[in-house]
Amino acid sequence: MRIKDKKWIRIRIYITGICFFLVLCIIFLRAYQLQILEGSQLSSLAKEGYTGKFTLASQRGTIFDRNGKELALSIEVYSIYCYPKRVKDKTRTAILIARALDIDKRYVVKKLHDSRSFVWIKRKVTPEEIKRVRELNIAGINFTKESRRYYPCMETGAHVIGFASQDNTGLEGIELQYNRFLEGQEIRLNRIHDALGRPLLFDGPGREEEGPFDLILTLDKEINYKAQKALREAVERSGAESGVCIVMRPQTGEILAMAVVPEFNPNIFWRFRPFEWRNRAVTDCYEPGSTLKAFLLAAALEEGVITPETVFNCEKGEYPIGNFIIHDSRPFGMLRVSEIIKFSSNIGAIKIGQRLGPGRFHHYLKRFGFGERTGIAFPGERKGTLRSIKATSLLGKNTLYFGQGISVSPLQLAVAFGAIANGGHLMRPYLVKSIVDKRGVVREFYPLVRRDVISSETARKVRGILEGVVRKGGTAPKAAIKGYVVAGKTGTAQKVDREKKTYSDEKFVAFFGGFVPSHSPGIVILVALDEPKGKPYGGFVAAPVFSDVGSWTLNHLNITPSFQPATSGQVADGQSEAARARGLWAGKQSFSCPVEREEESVALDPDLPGLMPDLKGLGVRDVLRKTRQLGLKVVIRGSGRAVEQSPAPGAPLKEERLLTVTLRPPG
Amino acid sequence: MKERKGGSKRLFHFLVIMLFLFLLAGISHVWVNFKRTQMAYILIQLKKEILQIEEYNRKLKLEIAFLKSPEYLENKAVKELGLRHPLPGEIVFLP
Repeated sequence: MRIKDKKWIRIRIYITGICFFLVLCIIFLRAYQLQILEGSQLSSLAKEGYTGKFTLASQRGTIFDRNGKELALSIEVYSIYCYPKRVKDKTRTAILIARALDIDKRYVVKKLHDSRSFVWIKRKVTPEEIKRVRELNIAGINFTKESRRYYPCMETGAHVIGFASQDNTGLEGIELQYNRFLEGQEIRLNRIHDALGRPLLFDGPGREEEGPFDLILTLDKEINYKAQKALREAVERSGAESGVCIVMRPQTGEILAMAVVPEFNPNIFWRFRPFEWRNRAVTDCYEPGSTLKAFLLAAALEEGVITPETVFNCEKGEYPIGNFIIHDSRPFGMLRVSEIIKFSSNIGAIKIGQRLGPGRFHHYLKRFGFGERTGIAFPGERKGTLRSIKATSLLGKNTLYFGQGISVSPLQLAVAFGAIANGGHLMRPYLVKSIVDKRGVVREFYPLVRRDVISSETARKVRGILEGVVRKGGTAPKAAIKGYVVAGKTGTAQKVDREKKTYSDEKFVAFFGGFVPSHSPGIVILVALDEPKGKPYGGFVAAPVFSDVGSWTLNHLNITPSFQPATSGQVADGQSEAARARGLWAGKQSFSCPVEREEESVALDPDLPGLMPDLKGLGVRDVLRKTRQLGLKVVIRGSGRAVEQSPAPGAPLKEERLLTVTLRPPG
Repeated sequence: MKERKGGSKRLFHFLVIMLFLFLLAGISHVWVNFKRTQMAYILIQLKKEILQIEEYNRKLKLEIAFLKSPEYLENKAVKELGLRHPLPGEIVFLP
């Protein structure tokens, strides 16, 4: 190879090298320009091409009853909206849309001619409607998913649960009170998609992390339904304007049912008038009438100014107070305290009250929670009216003893009856048991004793006297429940005639408040009927609701009737002949429903603290439960129900720690 | 001369193996990316399905709640099946 050729090869190599170098330089410079100088701008441009946002509709939390049954829940439904400027043939579109959605054509035309860029056509439509509109395939008409609230039990518990608006904001009841817990946030997810727009990846918090809270209520939807049904029937039967029925656990203050008539369906709340949405159990106040005598009795017994046997002269039904004369329904003569309550004598109540004194009575009314809110955590609760004694006239002081000149809400009254049923402990009523999220309980609500109003001994005496009200000859035999001993008090309060500024002779509020079983109350029930027609008495119109709801609830809660060994082989009065013949009623031969105790037996209840309890009639489980509570060692003989025990009921517990119980099968 | 020839052969083999490994790594990288994309499609489809099933589940819960509402059950029991509530005397309390 010649030298010249070799040089030429070298030159070519150099040239090629330089070319490569230059190309590399250009590549590097371009890379520098793209990555460094325009990097951020280009990367955001690129990101817009393959990322986007995806929105999950906000969901409200679910509301459950105490047994975990849904009372309110949300699901996703479609809503139809449009961009009016993008709709070409507006008249034709309006006709088609109106036909598909079964709405007025003029309304759609107005929407399509709206100057705004976005308008709703119809929100939360049915799957059939969305299908019909989709098939039309009109440009400018679009769909989006929204959350809609449903209340599967409809009217049942509606006044407690309340309802939420189209925008998922609580407007009434628990939905309003606990809105900040129930309200869910709209969840925005980042989405990466390919060149064809198909999603590749979602990124963001899931429903579990961002989800709303669920509520577990104290309500039992079955009991609430029964209460609602019984109340509705009573309101229709009596021609009353409205009614309230509250079922409560006296030991805890849990509200098991809160039924209100007139009813409304929260799924279509807008079709009802606002006064029908109102939960009258907490928002309305009435004069309690004679139901207040139960608390007068409790106060007087607690202060020791009377005993159940104290006798008062009821003045043959006429008693002057200043220029006025107080009347009784019948001309009573000398009555014992227990009879005054049983027959609901107004004059007798005044006599008891005069012995107690208005100041002390006022003090006890306040202690029972009248004139202050119960603390139930419910919107619109009212505290009622309890005037100071100084501001009350002589007549007012005396009529207060039988429930005039004071206003209370049905809930206050139920809670106050609960205090008598619960050994004198006034509980705070509550509707929400716990707040939970997907991971478990976030906050739990516990029973709270507000204060001790009366002693357990006084409460026991009052319970015994109130049993007489439901007995034959009392004011409310219609409240009796077969197999159980009921205690309660009726009330028939005159309403104020606003025009005449006096008490009306035509408008009344009928009450019955009580608890069952009397010796160990499982439930407190308060029934109030506003302006019943015909016979407006509490014992006539409200007491049957108590009996109906009470017997069903006791059965539902598995509170067994109290059995007592029959000595005469007779069954309790009123028991059905058919059941007796078939031996279905547990007391077919040797067991019977208890014959309601005489008033004298008030002081004979052995279930006193420090004394051996009476276990007769109880099953093994109940015997063991009761003895375990008292720390007793027990020897069980036989099976069935307790018929004998040693030591006998009423023996001091300190000396006897070993108990022998003999059981025999019923029949 | 022979040694030089053997050295070139080893270098050639080394380069071929390296080229093969490089090729393998490249193909693996492409394959992994392809599978990853495919998995992303499947994953997103499954996520969509989960959301749909969750929503369907909520709708079924609502339907169950409607069907289990006391009013509906009572209507069915009384009107269609001819049942009635037991009278107080017809309830048996077992010990």
